[in-house]
This record gives sequence, C-alpha cells and structure tokens, in this order.
Amino acid sequence: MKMNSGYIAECGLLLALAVIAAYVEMLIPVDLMLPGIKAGLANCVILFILYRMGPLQAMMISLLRTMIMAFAFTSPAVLIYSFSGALISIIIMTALSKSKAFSVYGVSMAGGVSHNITQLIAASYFMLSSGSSLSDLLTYYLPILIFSGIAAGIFNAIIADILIKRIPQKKDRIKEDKCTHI
Amino acid sequence: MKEEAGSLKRLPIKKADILLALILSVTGIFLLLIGRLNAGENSRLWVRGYQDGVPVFEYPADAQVRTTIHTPDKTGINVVVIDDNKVYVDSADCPGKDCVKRGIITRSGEEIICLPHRLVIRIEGGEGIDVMAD
Ligand SMILES: [Zn+2]
Repeated sequence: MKMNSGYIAECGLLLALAVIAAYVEMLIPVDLMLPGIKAGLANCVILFILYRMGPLQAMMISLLRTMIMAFAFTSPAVLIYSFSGALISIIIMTALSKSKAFSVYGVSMAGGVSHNITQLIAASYFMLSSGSSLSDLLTYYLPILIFSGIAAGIFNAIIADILIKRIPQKKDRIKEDKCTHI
Repeated sequence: MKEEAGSLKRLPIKKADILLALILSVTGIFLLLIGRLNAGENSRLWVRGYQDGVPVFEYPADAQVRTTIHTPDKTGINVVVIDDNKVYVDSADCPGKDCVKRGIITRSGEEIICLPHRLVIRIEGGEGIDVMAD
C-alpha cells in the first residue's frame, strides 16, 4: 500500500462519500422497529471500494464511517450495533468476493444480511432485558432483518455494479491521469 | 464504445448468487412459519389502555370492539378499535394525531401512545387483570 498524497486524498474523498450516503439513508424513514438499526442502503459505496481499491481500504472506510456517523449525527450509544455490523459484513463480503463463485450481487446480499444479523445479536442483550422474548427475536425480528438484508443487498449491488463498470481500475485511471497532465 | 454499452446492461449474476438468495429466503420464511405456529400456543392476548399509568380498559385482543376513551378532564377523546387481533386508534382530537398515524398494532408488547392525552394502549399477554370500569 503506497501512502502518497493522492492515495490519502482518494480515501478521504470516498470516506466523505460513504458518510454522505449514510446521512442520506438516515433521512429516509425506513423503520426496522429496532432502535439504531439501519437497512444499510449506504453499503453500495463500501462495495465499490472493496472491488476497486481492496478489502483493507473498504474496511477502514466502513469502520471510520460508522464512527463519524455515531458521533456526528446519531449517538455513540448505537455505535456498538453499527460498528459490529460493519465489521462482520466487510469480513464476509471480502471472503465471498475472493471466491469467484459470487458476483457483486451475492457478495452484497451476504453483506446486507450479515450486517443486519450482527446488529440484532448486538442489540439482543438490550432487547431481552427490556421484555422481548427470545422467540420474538428468532421468529419475528430475525426473518424481517434477513429479508431487509436481501432487499438492501440487491439495491446496493445494482448501484455498485453500475459504478464498478463505469469507473475503471485505479491503476488504469492513474495512467490516464498522467497522460492528461503531461 | 458499443461493446461497453452492451456490458453495462448485462447483469453479472451467477448461480451461487441465486442459491444464496434462495437459502436466505427459505430460512426467513421458515422462521416466520415457526413464529406463526408458536403464536397459536401462546396464552391469550389482551388489549389494555392506561391513562396516566392507570388501567382504564381491557379487552381480549380477538374481540370486536369500538370504544371511545375520554381524557380524565373530558376535553379529549380517542376512538380505539379492536378488530380480531388488530388494534388501532381510528380517530382522536389530540394535536398531531400521532396515535392515529401509528396505525395497526397486532403483536404482544406493541403499543400506541397518545402523548397529549397521556394514553397508552398496549397488547399484553398473560392473565386478565381487574379494571375499574366506569
Ligand atoms: Zn393522540
């Protein structure tokens, strides 16, 4: 990984984009009935980074984004949900993207569902202690989160697929840049 | 350029993607079905209304009821409808009408809150309690 200024600028730009996408998602009143749990529609930016820059950059930007969101717009109290969800989903998406069996659609769905299930697990202690039953968690919230994860995954894959096809690999882009600058 | 435009339209979906979507969907449907079967074995559900935390009405959730709840000072009303395990506030004269906008609740633990009228309507499981009827 080269730490030149262009690289750092690009990471910062993509982090800003990821935060904006998450902020826009926050404005959409998609109520999943659970406090602090989001469908993860902003994950398309992370998917694009995973495919175009690599897993390390995607993980870094994804985790930084959840922290910025928690401290700037939502609440540090929900950071445990979003952070664990982001961490597990990026690990699973990286693993699936390495295997050539899945396209960006499968990777995105797996990311969306694992994101939601991790958030449910993180929230389960609070939910169980405030009156929800375990069977409610497993037979009501879990299936809803699975279906919303699939839906969000497909949505993100459509966006990321377009981005990946329209914006070329980084090394090709740098060559183009150099040509135009000289 | 033409080739690029063609590849933009083609979806890259692979067999493994479809298999994954199927497995996840079947798991979700399976869990929902188990929930449905379990719900039948649960104890009876009640719809209870609390004004300032004091129980003001109680009906079995599977009843057919349309009742008007007056605030203690008789200045405001909430029309509560219970229709075969569906509970909602049909109309109210509170500012904002958040209780009406809340829509239908069906599950144990769910509640409709009318903050201006200090009224909470909740679906609860367990035994019936004695409510002072007026
Ligand atoms: Zn109201």
